[in-house]
Amino acid sequence: MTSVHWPWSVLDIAPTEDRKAIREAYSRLLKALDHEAETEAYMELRDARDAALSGQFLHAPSADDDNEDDFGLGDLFDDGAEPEALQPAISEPEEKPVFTVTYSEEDDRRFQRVVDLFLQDDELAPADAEELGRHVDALLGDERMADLGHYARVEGWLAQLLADRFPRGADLFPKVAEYFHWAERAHELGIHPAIPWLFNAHDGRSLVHELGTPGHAYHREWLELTSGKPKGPLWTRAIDKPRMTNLIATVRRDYPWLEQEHWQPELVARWEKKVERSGGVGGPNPWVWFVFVCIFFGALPQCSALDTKSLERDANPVMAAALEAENADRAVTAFLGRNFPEAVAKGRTLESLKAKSPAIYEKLRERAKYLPDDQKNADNVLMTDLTDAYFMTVDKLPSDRQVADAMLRVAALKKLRKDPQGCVQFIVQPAQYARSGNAPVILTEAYRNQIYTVLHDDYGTVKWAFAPNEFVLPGELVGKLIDRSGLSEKRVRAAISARDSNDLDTCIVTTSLLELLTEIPRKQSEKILPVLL
Amino acid sequence: MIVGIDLGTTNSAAAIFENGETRLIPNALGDLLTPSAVAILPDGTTLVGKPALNHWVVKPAEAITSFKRFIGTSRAIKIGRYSFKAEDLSAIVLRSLKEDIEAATGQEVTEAVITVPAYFNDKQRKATRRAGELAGLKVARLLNEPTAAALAFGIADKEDREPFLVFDLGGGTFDVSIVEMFDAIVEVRASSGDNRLGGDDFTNAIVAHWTANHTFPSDVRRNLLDARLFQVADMARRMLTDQNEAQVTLTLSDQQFDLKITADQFETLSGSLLARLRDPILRSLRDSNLRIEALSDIVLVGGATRMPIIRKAITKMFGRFPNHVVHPDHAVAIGAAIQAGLVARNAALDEVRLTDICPFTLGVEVTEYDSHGRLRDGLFSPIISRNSPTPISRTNNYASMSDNQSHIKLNIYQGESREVANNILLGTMEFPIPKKPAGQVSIDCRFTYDSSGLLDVDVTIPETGETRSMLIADDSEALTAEQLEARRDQLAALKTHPRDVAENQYIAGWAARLYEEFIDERREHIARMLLHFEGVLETQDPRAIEEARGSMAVALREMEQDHRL
Repeated sequence: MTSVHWPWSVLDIAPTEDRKAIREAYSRLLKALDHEAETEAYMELRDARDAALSGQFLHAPSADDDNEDDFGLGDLFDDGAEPEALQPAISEPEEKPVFTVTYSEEDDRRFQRVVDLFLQDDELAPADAEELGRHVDALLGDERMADLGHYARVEGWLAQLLADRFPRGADLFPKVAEYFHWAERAHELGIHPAIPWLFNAHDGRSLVHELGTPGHAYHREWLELTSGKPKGPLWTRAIDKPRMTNLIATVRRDYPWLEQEHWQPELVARWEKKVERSGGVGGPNPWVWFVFVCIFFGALPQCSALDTKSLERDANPVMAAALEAENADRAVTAFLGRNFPEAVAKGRTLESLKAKSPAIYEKLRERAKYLPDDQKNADNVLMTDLTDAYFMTVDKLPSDRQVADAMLRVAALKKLRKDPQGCVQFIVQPAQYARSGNAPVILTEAYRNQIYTVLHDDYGTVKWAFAPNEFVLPGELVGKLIDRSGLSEKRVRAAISARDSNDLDTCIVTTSLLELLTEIPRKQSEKILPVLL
Repeated sequence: MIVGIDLGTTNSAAAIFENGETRLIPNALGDLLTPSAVAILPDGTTLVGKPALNHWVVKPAEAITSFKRFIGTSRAIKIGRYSFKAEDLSAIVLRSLKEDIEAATGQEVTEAVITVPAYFNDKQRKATRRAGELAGLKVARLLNEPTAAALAFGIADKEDREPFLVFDLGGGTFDVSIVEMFDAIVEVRASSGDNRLGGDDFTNAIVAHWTANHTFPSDVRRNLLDARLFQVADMARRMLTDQNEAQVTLTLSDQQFDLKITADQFETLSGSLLARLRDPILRSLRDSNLRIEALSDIVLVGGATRMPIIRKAITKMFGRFPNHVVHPDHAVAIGAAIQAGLVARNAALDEVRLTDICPFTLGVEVTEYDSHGRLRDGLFSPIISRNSPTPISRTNNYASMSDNQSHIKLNIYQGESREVANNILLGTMEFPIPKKPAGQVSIDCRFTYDSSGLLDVDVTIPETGETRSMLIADDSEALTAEQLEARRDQLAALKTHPRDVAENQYIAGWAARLYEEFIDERREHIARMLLHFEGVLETQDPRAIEEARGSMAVALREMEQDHRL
């Protein structure tokens, strides 16, 4: 042969079935190159070796081969092949492992029976289903499962049967899946490529079962799409358009096959039109998501409790408003309890807030109606509102409150030292900085308590004075400042006059000023305040 | 000189390759294995190995063991008033091993091959490499532990072998590799594992069993109780290696507890742990396209494989008896030394080649339109698939998602699941791209996985020719050269004793531990021995000290054995 085809051209030998010759060629070539430096050459060599060992490249590809290429489908259409492929591999003698697992005739009969039950054409009679369950239990409970070979064969075999004959054996699926830990290994296609699909099918089936149970939130909508009740005004059937939209969207996204299996196309088409006419609905509301999450986790009891509530809400607008208000109150109370335990312990609760600072109370409640589901994000949203209001108020507060604030700001600034830019931002625009999601990082718990306490006690009563624009820092104080910050006078003065620059000096000087404020007599501290605010 | 170091969860060992042979290096106490334990006394004195282990049992707050489990995490480990990351503690152990080698060979040690569990992820590997750098060692290579064991196993006779399976169950991690040998080429075909499963978990099963069945005095501090219980449970587990029943005595607040466990009980307790051995083995077999019967051998490595229940489970799993030719505790260090010889291009290893693989799939997060035209986000797009030979470099092309998109954020993941939520996030890089309609800007993303198992990511934007690269590491953990230097100085500031002082300390610590374990006259006896020993130490006469140390060691060993039987 004058020119050999791939992979032999890489290995530099003539096509052969002799594994030793192939490996020798590989070894010779590998040792000739530095496989850690010449990555590409090494990978090419290795691919060629694997291809040569596979025994599929003995003949050069010819033009004819290309025409007959069946894309690897092989004998797919050979009638005899299918049942044979489903035979348990175990019954073939050459597949038996070295010495541990032996199969008696009884085992063979059991394997055969399981296959027969799975493959039989008619519906499984209850007795048959029970027998199948018994056989599977016996297989899984078998002591021989300690042998890996046996284990892997039974696993692959059951996966194959379940996937091929779904929904037959669907009741057995949860048990089998748990036994083999398929949930964690669904992505290992080597077990069976259909396993991820089986999980989806199983979830979908449980969903259908739950939707078919009267009392489920979506029961009526589901029936509407599957069986089609007699025509009539919608309200007699209590079909909810948003719910219908959600049902259609969710099923199409997660279980598209349910649509083909259960829905009547003309009914679905009619509903799609109706929903469109009514302008559609934005995102699915949180209740719907909650219900679905419940379904997925099989927590049916809780669901039914919630469902009745959501139904009542839909039926009665007054009740809906009351429910909404109640929910908002509950959310705000929970938020206060989580974030300001100290203040709440001192009696600053939602009720007292309502009495003392109704504006803040209303603001929080309004916002609480549209909170994200995630508790952390929800807290952030409310916290942002509070900090906004607080930093608007702070320069009009009584002096002792301001001093307390200064002390807490010092703590926050010290935390920010490493980030001069953030530090200056916080000095100039504390509200804005806190709003950009930094509040939980920089505001200590004490600071947060101060915020809530101030808003609770002073928001309604503070006089809205104007802060003076001009200020002169007495020399005595500048001296103290220089001592404290450890910077030169020039730098201190520069930092005071240019507060917007993003440098560490500003940060240090401001921190020192704040510290100073907490230590000197009130008369003097009042001179510093305008510099700071 | 390049050395090989096995940095284990419970034990570490060091070996060198010289004159065509590997040699394990004993530590200051003459042992080939150094327990991976570190103690730091209030005055800053550092103890490593057995002395630290003794200290841990007496004052658990000042010592730590099994810290390798936390490597690659930012978890702060408190020892007394100090706070460390797991890599700092590993560095202390490495430094002690380095000193042992320097003492044994008289040569300076600058480079090392350090072994890591094959299933260690990128963060854990990088942390291990930093530990080496902190200890003043250039890490020539990180070597997978089962691969090292396979090298040790195969190089001994250089015979050709059909694929065999290396079963490596250490103190804290479990690895499986399938390896083939032909013509002195050691080829790893597949690796898998569980880096949260090891001998410690079996010990904890015993601890849990005892805690459930005994009431221990409540005035004992929690961590002291845990340490003491763990220590006796570990002892019991080791006793079960050649006995059917283990009985140990635990003394707490002058109260004695007789704790018992039988081999059968232990097997029941370990049921769920044993089941976890199965999946990694099956995965590696599947990945290498082998049937179980095709394996030519099962090679056991790691101290935990001495447990009869493990051997029994393996025999059942594979239908044959495993091979215990290699020393389960030494094989990895020996393999590391051979790899060190390979890196140094030692003439004796001229014919030997080692090819390893990457045990994970590596890729990025993408968003795609599904067949219904809806967006699916959080999907995983693999770039390097698992069990590709290393070193390897692969490129994939990705396009922008929306019109006028200004940035691309690339999340890099390791794992096998199609949804990134189930995979491990290795790092994130964000960079600007030219604003264009959706899909018109593309990036080439190149993943390079080197032979130490470390990943580099380069991104090229063909349109602008711009290239960005990122060494995958958490930003918080990436250290600059100066930071590394500073940390090294900090660690160096911790005092260690000269080697003979360490030995005295070990004996004294051992006696202190036994003092706590015994009561009544034996306790008195130890107290008198200790007093005498301290008296001899005061004299500073090296001969007398050595003599006292010897006799004390003999006496302590006898007492301890008496106590156990």
